[in-house]
Amino acid sequence: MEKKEIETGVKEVISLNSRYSVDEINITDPIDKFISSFMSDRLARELKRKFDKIDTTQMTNDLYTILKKVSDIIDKIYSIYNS
Amino acid sequence: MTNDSSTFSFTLDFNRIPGKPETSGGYIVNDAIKNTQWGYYIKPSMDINIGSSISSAPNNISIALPGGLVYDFPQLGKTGGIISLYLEGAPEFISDRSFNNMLYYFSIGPYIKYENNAPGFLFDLQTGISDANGFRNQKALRNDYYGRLTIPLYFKIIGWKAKDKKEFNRIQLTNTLKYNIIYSDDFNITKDKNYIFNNTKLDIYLTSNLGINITYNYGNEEPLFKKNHAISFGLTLAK
Repeated sequence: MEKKEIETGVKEVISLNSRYSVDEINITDPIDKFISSFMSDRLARELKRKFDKIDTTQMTNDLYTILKKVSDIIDKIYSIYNS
Repeated sequence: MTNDSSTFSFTLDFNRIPGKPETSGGYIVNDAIKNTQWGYYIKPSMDINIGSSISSAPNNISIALPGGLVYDFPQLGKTGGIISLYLEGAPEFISDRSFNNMLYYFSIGPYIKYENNAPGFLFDLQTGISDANGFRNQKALRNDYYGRLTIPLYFKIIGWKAKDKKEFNRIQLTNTLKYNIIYSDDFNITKDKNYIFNNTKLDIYLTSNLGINITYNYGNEEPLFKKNHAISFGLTLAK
């Protein structure tokens, strides 16, 4: 899967769970500008619904700890699909 | 401040990112069920509040293994926020600091999580109802059946202004309220049937790295349901 395709998918998931449109989501922005850590478990499940190869549990725990920016999510999913 | 002594505590927190919780994920399982809005999860939790200097929290130890099903509702309009419904069960263990008085029970019930994350303003809410059934074990005494109905209410409100790092102002109010109805117990311990426990925390970030906080506890908490009435002040030096 191409990185651009992943970026579009991640932005769509975030947009469906926040008040921001796809065009308003900048990948250098922090994730909690759109969805706070309070809802990280939900965000991980929503990403799984879009990208079925991801490990949702690992994604959840990473969202709470090491993934800070939208680009971090994109990079992680890219590495899963291209490993 | 307690009934039998007055306590003033001052805390320095050198390891905090503004607005980030101290806890990590810690999920054993969190997954979506294919082609549905349902999911399932297991997330252990542990909370230890013991020690002679800890007077601003209930002196107890709690260990639980909550798990269950979750339904993620579609967003409530573009500005209405997101809501998820959880159907949760959990074996739980609560003890006093000396392990002389312990509760073992299984709790079950639904709750919802709601978030509305707007520019400059965040509102999180969690509420539901849970029923717990099990035993109270006291050293040298018989076991008693323990039954409790709880209505918890958690909310967090954050307002901020951050044009750039030098102009960072943030105010955060977090409140956790539990209303407990005890319907089975050793009523020598729970003389009243209804107890509340409330924790309020106010964080004010003056800059991106410097904040002050005030924490206020009021009420009675498991397992001993002794009155806890304490206020503490802290200084946060964030990363």
